[in-house]
Amino acid sequence: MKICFMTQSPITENILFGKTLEELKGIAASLNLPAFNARIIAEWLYKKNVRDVHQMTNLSKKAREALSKDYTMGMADPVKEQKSADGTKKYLYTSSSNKFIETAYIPDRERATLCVSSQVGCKMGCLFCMTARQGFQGNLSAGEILNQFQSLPEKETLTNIVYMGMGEPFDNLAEVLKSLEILTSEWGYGMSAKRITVSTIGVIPGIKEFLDKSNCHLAISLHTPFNEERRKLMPIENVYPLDEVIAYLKTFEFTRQRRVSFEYIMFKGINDTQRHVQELNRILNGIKCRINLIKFHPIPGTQLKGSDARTMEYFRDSLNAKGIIATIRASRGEDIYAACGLLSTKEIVKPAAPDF
Amino acid sequence: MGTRDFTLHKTIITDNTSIAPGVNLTRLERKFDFIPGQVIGVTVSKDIPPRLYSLCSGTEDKEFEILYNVVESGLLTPRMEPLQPGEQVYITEPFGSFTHVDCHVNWVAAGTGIAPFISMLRSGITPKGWMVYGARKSENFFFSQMLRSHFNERFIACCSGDCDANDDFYKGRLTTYLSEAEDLKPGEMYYLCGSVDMVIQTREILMQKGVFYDNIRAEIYF
Repeated sequence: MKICFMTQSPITENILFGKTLEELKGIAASLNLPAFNARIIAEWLYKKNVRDVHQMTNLSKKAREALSKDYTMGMADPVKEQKSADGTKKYLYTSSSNKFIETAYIPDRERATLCVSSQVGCKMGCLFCMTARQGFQGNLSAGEILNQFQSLPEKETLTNIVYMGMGEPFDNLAEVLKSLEILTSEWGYGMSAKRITVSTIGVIPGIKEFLDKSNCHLAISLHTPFNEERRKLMPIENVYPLDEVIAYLKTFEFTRQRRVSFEYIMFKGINDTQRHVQELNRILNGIKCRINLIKFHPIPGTQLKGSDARTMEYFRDSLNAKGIIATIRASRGEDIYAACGLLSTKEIVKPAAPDF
Repeated sequence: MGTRDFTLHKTIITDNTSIAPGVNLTRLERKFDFIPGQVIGVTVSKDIPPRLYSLCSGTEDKEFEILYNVVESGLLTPRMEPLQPGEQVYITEPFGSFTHVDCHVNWVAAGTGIAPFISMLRSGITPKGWMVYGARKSENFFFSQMLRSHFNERFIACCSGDCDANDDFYKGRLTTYLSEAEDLKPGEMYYLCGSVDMVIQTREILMQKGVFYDNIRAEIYF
């Protein structure tokens, strides 16, 4: 039996958008174009909004023809938009391989955050998550991840990007790292890594590689400090237990430039007691971090219930009293199923032939 | 608990057999002790990230044994499939906690998801509950004899595709069988191992039938 983390990357050989500078250099070389063309192409792809190779006017005609013969650009506008009463928007994108991708745009006073997906569906099977109900349809390429940002109508208003949409980013690590490189490189979008957060349920090899190769912020889906409880909510605990995740984080020096935070969905009577406060205080001792407390958004047929507002506030205050910065994350986009844990394109995905 | 050592250790293939179209059973020189239900990371080269496989060998066996689907488009398994005895691969130490608990447990598996349960049986663990095993074809019911002899009438093989009419199969998906089953006991433990679709659907069925999520333990593979 294979438990597969870091699944293979999608095939995007003939698509330019989503290629790193090194990959573009390889393409230039394969077309017998000068190496400096790679940087020019990157500029058109990531700094200017062109969607046609022939618009890359400072490339030679020969280069444009060679590129357009073998490559397509790969950007695509959203095919559907839903708007919440609170201003949150949910966009549906399709990819070249007919995958459906959901993305949430969350404006909030002077901030505007984009919640991007890294996979179609998810393999992690968390008990409380709607995406898990969809099963797994595939990985997104770096281009498909970035297109959620590039083709967003509100792109220019964005202040932050969070990898907290559909999928487990570190189950698609290579493409996620490529997308982060493109977002943060001076030859790419030139965004500050401080404006980007990648959230994982705790795939330890992925955390190590991410911390080594990227400067973006890290978020860990924690949800309970007790292993046995977490195992029942999140099957990943069988393989990468939280105490090992925490132990590894304690070996890593998070500086002012880089932050680790913990996501904590609050379930009534399950993970919202003072016992949990005590244990969180114990296990997080020594890690400079913050905890985001999140309201549970019930999914059909669930046996779980969300903690009430008063319990959440008391939990937050108890953590704060112990010196752990905890905040209650405002619930956004619930009426359009854009809130945390609700993204799913199950209804429009053709089911694969099951093996059971 | 400290940080886990994901160091890759060299080991040697002792046997590599195709036991069904696209499915291999591979034996490896054993390097470490393990608990039934644990996994090891395996790769053919340090350049390729190891994939995790449940061990299906018993704790007293001299070799490690893993069972896997050969994914044609995959990075690793097409390279593992042709390896011969004596050739080298890399493994991590065993880890994971999809391990047996001493109470009334029922097992549900699909395809190669049978591996951790085989490891448990081979290690002398004999659950009092039943086993529901699903696959698409007769040839994808692995270790059936062992399972039948352990569970007898408590073994239910659910065949969703073309299966030998002479064999004692439930004709349909294991999820259909479980949906129709009238004797599921909410108070018992349920261990699930298989694809995310199987695990999610089975978990939903069990919960609809009154099993509290607390009593469901799942290991997911792709």
